[in-house]
Amino acid sequence: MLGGKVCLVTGGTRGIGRAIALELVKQGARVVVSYRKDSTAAEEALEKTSTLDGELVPLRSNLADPVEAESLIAGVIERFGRLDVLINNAGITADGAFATMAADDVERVINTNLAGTIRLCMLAAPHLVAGTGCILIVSSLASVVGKEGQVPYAASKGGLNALTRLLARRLGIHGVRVNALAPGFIRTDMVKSLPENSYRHIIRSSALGRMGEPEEVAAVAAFLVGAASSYISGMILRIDGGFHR
Amino acid sequence: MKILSCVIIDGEGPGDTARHLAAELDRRGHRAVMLGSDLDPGYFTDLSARVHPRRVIFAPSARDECDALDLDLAGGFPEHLAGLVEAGIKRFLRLVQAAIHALMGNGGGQIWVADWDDTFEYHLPLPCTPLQAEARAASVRALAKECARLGIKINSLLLQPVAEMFQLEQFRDAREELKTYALRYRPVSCATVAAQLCNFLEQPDLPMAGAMVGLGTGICQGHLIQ
Repeated sequence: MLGGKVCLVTGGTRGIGRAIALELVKQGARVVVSYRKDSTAAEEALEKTSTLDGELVPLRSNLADPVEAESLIAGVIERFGRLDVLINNAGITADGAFATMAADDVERVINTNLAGTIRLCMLAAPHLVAGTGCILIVSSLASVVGKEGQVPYAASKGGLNALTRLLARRLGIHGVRVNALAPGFIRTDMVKSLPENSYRHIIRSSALGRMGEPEEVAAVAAFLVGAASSYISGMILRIDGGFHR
Repeated sequence: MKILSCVIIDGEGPGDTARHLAAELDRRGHRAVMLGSDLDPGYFTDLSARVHPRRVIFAPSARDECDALDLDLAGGFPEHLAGLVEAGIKRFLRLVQAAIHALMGNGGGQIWVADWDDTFEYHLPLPCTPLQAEARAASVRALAKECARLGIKINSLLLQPVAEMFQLEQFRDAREELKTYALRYRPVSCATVAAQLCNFLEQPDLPMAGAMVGLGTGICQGHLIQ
């Protein structure tokens, strides 16, 4: 259990990020969730935690902006005096044929997913080292298997896999663990709006033959930031129902 | 054998493999243009219109990420690593997009993206660019699926330390300390690695795409790239 731990979940008001934040609060953690613009989703997440053991605090922040990233970490420290767990979940995608993709779309994905996460890890590291905390990075199955139409997204997530292993080696000596999740096809708001025939073939490519639920990812995230995984670091864990295509 | 027109990007990095590759291509009667890391994607497009490349090779980036990471972890303003990686990946993606356009206009071809295997970075001062290397490799896996129908085969090369990069004593010392990577490692020359890559480049219909090919005789431990 995570009673009393101070956690920061970026992009924590929707989809996988929200499921992770709610699971951590259920387990007694004090969780700051950052969001870029959807304050309604932040309020809904807050309502869901009102009867739970832990605490949820939404903070608005655009992590592609270095100044806002610095303010976010400062905000967590100001409120709770420490940071035990950083979960880098915030991310965007710009899908389409790479040969005709606009430079702005490519740059947005790299800025937010890769540079933004690197920057936040560096800002959080001194606080985590002081308390032997941990970092969890939400990567993607796209980084491992490659998928047409997702070139910048795959590149950004591939970079995050390397960051996970590099930070695990550099911070391990201080007792800080660094791991990553690589979720496959998960039932988020984005997927719910798609017609079933557009993703049926993807579901058939997983051994379990179904989509994953955000709560299934959240349970693994809670395990990886909790005491039960105290000897796991530098791992990229696929949560994909046995994807084999 | 048809004469190949090749462009080698970021040719001045450590290990000298790009220079050996250009020499080997020349020896086999092909044309190779080697471009430095200050190359602008616009210049690449202009050059492509003149030389009509059928093969584009990205040599490893020379920017050291591990130094930048250590600086950030020790420093008060953590920005070096993020800036370095961001600039490197954006530039790579712009160039690879320009390379795809060039090859599409020339009826297809091959793209190879080379990076260093830095498994042994903990012992020897190897070029260390794991974030860019893995980001590049991940984009190659996605691109391979997009580009195959365009007649473009794109693959990754994982280069292990070549003989010219270190004195033999440095590996001998490592072996005496029973460093497992050094025990398994037998250095090969830049020229040998370049010759093998040339063999791939000369394949008119390369039967591989999205692959990660390790060259050298070290055995990768998978510390940074799996």
